[in-house]
Amino acid sequence: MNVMKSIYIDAEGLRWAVSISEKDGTFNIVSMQQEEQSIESTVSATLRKGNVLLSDGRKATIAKVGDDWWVHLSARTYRLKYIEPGSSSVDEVEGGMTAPMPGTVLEVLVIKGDRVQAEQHLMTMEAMKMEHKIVASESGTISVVHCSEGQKVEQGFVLIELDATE
Amino acid sequence: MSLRWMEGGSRPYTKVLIANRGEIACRIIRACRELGLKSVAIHAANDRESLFVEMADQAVELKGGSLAETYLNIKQILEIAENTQAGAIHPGFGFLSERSDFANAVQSAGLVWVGPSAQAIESMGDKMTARRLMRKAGIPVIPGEEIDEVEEQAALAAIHEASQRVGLPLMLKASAGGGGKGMRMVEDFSEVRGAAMAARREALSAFGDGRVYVERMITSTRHIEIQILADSFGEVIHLCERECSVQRRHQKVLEEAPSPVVSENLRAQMGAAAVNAAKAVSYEGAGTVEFLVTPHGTFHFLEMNTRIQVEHPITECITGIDLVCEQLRIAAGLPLGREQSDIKVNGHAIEVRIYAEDANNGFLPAIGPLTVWSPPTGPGIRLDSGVRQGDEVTPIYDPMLAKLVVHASDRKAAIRRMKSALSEFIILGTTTNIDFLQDLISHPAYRAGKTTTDFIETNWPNGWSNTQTSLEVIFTAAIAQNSGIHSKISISTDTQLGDQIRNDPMNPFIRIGRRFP
Repeated sequence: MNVMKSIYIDAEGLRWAVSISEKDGTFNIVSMQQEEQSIESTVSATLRKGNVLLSDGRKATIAKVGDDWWVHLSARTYRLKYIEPGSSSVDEVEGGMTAPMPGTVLEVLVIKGDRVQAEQHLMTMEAMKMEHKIVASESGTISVVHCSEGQKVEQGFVLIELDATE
Repeated sequence: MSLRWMEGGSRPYTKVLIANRGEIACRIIRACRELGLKSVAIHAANDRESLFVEMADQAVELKGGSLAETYLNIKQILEIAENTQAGAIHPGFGFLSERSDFANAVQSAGLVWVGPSAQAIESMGDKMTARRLMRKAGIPVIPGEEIDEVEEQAALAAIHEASQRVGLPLMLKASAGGGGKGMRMVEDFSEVRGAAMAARREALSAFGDGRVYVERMITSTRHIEIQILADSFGEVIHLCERECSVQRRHQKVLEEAPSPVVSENLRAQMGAAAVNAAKAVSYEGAGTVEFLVTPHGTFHFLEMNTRIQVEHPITECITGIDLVCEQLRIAAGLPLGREQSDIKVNGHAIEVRIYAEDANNGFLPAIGPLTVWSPPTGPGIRLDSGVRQGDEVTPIYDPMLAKLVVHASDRKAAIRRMKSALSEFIILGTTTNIDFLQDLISHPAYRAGKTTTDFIETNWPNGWSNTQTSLEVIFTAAIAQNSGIHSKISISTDTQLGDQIRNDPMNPFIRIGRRFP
């Protein structure tokens, strides 16, 4: 039996440490942990035509794009992230508001030092001819504005950072 | 060389230029092929590898980068029509389809325009003009006021005054609008000015016309539309209704025909109103008259779309009439050849729009590669799509990937068929709304036919979220990572490719690798 080294997977923002073993083409779970929580399961799996066949008879279709795994199982689609060993964190920049999609910054309504309330409208983005409001994630003071009107930004780009009111 | 079916038509042609892209371009190319017509695709450089370009008999690349320089460039499109000797132009939907100046330019160039007259497009395209025309023709419109002021400050003042008379809640709508753009709901008078400014700005950027008018917001309504066909001899028939109430951000998500609530009597009334609306503008071709229907069964004219509609396939399913073929026949100057009494409803059809969007996150558009694209097939299942496996979803164009349509003997059977078809549909690499659509089609309120325009907000007040990731899913990902399947997948030029996988003709990743090294 070949026990493989633990790998880390982000599912819905939760970080899982997973260790599996393999013998004669059959995979088993050795351990599966998320913080204090540990999951036991007797489920096993084999590979079938580039996909994963579970011991309960269900087949998962898989694909990898960048660091993301895409898994289709029981008519549902999931996106999980592989975390490189040694990478510090997958958390977003604290207090940062990021672009929800690629697009153009239409208007910026605040400047550095402005005091804002949670949910306050800070800037407007445009993508696919639709406008989207970027609002304050919490109350506080604007510490950095990373973009200007007319600027094109990628998805996940940090637009504005704020120091939360204590 | 003329086509037999076109004999007797006053405007014969043999080659059609399609001034569009994606899914609807594919749909039109197929119709042309069935009718023995040659097709010419036009495309921007970033569409060079797209399916519609591959499918057309001829394809010509548009110069320029922006939409204005390419798909909206009337001059360039007409030059290509001349160079390729196309005899007719089909505009599809979106882009130039509802631009009267384009219709005019096409006809002035001596080409056949697959659509209504420039005059009809203009009258119906300007929502304020349309409201006035419909009122005159005795068709009920939504209570509200037109705003004729063009200059910003004067318009804002007039909107403010009108909003007091119309009452809350109200809608501000772009007169040149459609597709939810330049539209704002207002629930408090203090919001009117800000909302009007935003609506005007969005309208100006999307349509080059910032005029906005005021309408009372009618809640718990259904969006029901009537398909019409009109020939150049003044004959108009309707092809029953489509129920399109399920929307998000004022864009349709699911449509069905017939409506679960329209009686024979209401259908006849709405059908007659739609036929009258078409006659009021001397309409020609395929068109759609949209109505809002209140819980009491009264209906109000919303707008008329002077083009083929995204959701036209469900009408084709229940009536057995190919609407794109009919457009091409009417454009050639042929009579309808059908009477109202020939139109019969057969069974029930449902369409869902497969969007690249994140339903978990307010339905924001998503992008990415279509690494796996495995659509369902089987009896009564139709897929109208403009993409295939290996394509890339970009933020440049509309996020609609495909339309999945089912047809069955009745509504219950159609729902079962759609549920099954959606469960088979696998798309990996780009987030889509398929999981949301599965919950939608299985929702008790949907099954009960309680579809109103606020259906999504009412039934998912805190937003929709997907099923929790199970341990089997995490296990599957861990196996993939550890066994290295994924690296064999993503590095197609990799010489380490396992023999077992390399030789497996069923492995979808191999096929992707070929297309996208």
